[in-house]
This record gives sequence, structure tokens and C-alpha cells, in this order.
Amino acid sequence: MIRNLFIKKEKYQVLLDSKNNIKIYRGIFCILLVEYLVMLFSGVTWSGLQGDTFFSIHVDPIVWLYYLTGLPAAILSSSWIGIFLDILTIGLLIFMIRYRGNQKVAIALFVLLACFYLTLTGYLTHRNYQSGIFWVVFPFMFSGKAKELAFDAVRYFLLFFYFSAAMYKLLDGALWYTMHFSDYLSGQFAPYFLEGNIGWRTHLNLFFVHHFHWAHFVYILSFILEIVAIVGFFTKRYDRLILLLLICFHIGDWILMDIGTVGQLAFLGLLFFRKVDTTSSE
Amino acid sequence: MKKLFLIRCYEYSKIGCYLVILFIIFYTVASFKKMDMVIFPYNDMFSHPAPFKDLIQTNALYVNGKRVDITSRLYWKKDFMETSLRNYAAYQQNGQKVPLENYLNKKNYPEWFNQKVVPDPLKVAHWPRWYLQYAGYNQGFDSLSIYSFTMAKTINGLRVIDSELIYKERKIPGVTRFKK
Repeated sequence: MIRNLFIKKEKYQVLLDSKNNIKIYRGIFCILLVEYLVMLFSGVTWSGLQGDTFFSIHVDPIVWLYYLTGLPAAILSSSWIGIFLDILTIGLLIFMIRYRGNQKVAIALFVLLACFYLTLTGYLTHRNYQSGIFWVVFPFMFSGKAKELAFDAVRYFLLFFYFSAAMYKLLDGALWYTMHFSDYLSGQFAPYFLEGNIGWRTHLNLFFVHHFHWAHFVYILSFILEIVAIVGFFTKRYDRLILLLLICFHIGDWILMDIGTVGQLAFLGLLFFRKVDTTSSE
Repeated sequence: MKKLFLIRCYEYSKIGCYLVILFIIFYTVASFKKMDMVIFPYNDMFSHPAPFKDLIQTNALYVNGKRVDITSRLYWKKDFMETSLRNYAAYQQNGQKVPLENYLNKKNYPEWFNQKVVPDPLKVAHWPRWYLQYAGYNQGFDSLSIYSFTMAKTINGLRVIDSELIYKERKIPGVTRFKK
């Protein structure tokens, strides 16, 4: 009887996890939709970039392959294609929120968002770290056991991204150079000072520029927030705590460095899953 | 105890496991080669100690002698306008070449390849007008200029100490729409 009780409780727990996952799943795609809409209203999605002729990519054959197809230039040459792709992306995101687990839609969305990311980074002419905007969709392209494994793979990738960022800071030596962060900070708000757009963030920036020891302390703090991700390689128990710390890291990033987080939030949301729901459809 | 990810992966699909291992190897090699962009996100950001600099560079676009402000715009718009303008100014200062061209010049890639991965200078010539339209200026203009500013750190913030004209264009008022 006691054994049966345990089994029932276990089954109930699985059910609970599954229902909880549906909410989290929908939450993640809702965040992704909001992120895309923010970018749309900012004018950096397909339709916003229409007509742009200047791009600069780096030494990265993966990006070269995409640009060799001529797709980015072709897409940005017509406003109708841009509008169509924006509508398609939003439509697919809404579809994913409504009909969870549709693999074909997830594949289409992954390809679309990956192309968007490559186009944006090229035409932004800057290497951008917010690749989470398409990686977040990756696990949903699979079903059953493969979905669980894909989810784990992307989760490791996410953790490695932040952990490796901390390791770069350690191995490149910046962590031992006390003037380093203060010096970097001094250029982050240059356009604000040029335009006279002064506020609490520029005042804070000035404080850290002139107090390099405090700036270095914040840099070490950011290093700690990033390196904590290594815990996730050994257990999923602290995933939500890691998520909270990484969100703190990104908030700090925006306040001190003027680096926005939109594009990465939904990806971080993957850390909210307790257990992967391996059912393919609702 | 739960099995390791790669073992679980191997048990489910050998090909899948090999692909994951291949990806890890590729990622490791790419990281050492500093190819950190697509599937290799920019995770070495702000990790390189650079020599201390007293002077800061920034750029601004002027239309009819009036500066086009960007910092009060939504984050992504501001980021796009700031970064692309900075790199366009660098492109002009570097003899109309993007950084990738310096790398490609050392290699023997075919011409068609180079044409696809670097922007066409003829098309880029229209970019300032596109940028102006992107900034929301759809009216005609008499002059359009891009300046590079050198700023010095002071106790009250950054102060402009020098400026350099990077690009200048005069245009007939009313004709601004860029056509490919």
C-alpha cells in the first residue's frame, strides 16, 4: 500500500512537472515573441533593415556560407520580403505558443531566426552575443527522447557560454588588471556625453571611471556571476538560482555597459525547466 | 545516478553522439582560432586587457549642420545606429575597406567569393542616405556629414577636444529616397 502511494505520488509529480513545463514552455515563447516585437518596433528586424547596403562580417566560415548564398542582400532589397518575413516570424511564434511541440514549425522558426541573427549581426557590423534568439528554439525541433537530449545539449551550451566568458576573463589576464574595467567603461557612454543626454546611468558610469578600484570590484563580481554557471554541469538543482544570477549579470550589463539583454532572455528561460516534457504534442 | 550526457546520447543514437563530439571538437578548434561569432557567441567580450587610453572616439551624423541624436531611442535602434555608424566611419577611414578585406587580401580566394562576403563599394556609397532615412529624416537635405569626435575624460564626463570630418555629401533638397 505504501509502495502504491509512492508510485501515485511519483506519477502525480511527473504530471505536475509536465503541466508546469507547459506553462514555462509558453512563457519562454511569449518572452521570445515580446523580444522580437521590441526589435521590430526598434526597427532592427527584416522590414526595418530594408535597403541597408553596408555590412561587415568577420573571419568565420559559418557566416561566410550564409552570405555566399546572397540571401541577406536579396531579402533586404525588397521591403515586401522583409514585411512578409516579419509577419511569418511573428505568426510562427504565436503558433508555437498555441500549439506546443510542433516540430516542423519549430524547425522553420529556428532557420528563420538563425538567418535573422546572421543578417542582423552582419548589417549591425558588430559581433553580437545574443545568439540565444535562435538557440532557444533548438530543443523544440525534436520529440521524445531526442527532445530531452537536445534540451540538455542546449542547456550545456548556455552554461558553457557564460562559464567560458568567465574563463576568458581569467585566462586573458583582464581579471588581474585593476584599471581594465574602468578603462572600458569610459567609452561605453561616449554618445550620451556627446549629446548631453545625462542621467543616473552616466553619473554611475562616471563614478566607476574615476574610482577604478570599485570598477574592478564590479568586474570581479561579474566574473563570479558568470563562473557560477559551472555548477549547472553537475546538477540541475540550482538552475533557477543560476538563472537569477545571470539575470542580475545582464541587468548590471545594461546599467553599466549599456548592453541590452533583449534577444537573450528567452534563451535564459530554458534554465527554468525542472524536467523536460518529452511528449511531442499537447 | 544519472548517466553522462554523451553516454545517454550514444545509447539513443550513435550518429547523434558522433555529431555532438564533432561539434565539441569544432567548437574547441574554432575558439582557439578566435572564430567566435555564430554558433560561437561573443563570449570573450571585455576579456582582453587593452593599453590604458585617455582619449575616447565616437561618431555622429549631421544633417544641414544639425546633429542626429541617437541615445534617446529604443535600445536596439540606438545600438544599431551607433555601431553601424562607427564601422562606416572606420570603413571610410580605412580606404573604403571592411576589416575582413585585410584578411582576404592575404589569401587567394576567388573574386566571386570576395564580392559576396564584403560589401559592394558602389552600393555602400548610398548608405549615408539610407542611414538618414533610417534615422527618420525623410525630408530633403542640403548637406550630410559624418564626424569623428575625440573626447577626453574629465571629472564631469567626456569632453570633445577634437573632431574630424569623415564623410560629406551635398544633395538636392527633396530627393532623398534611396533606390537600388
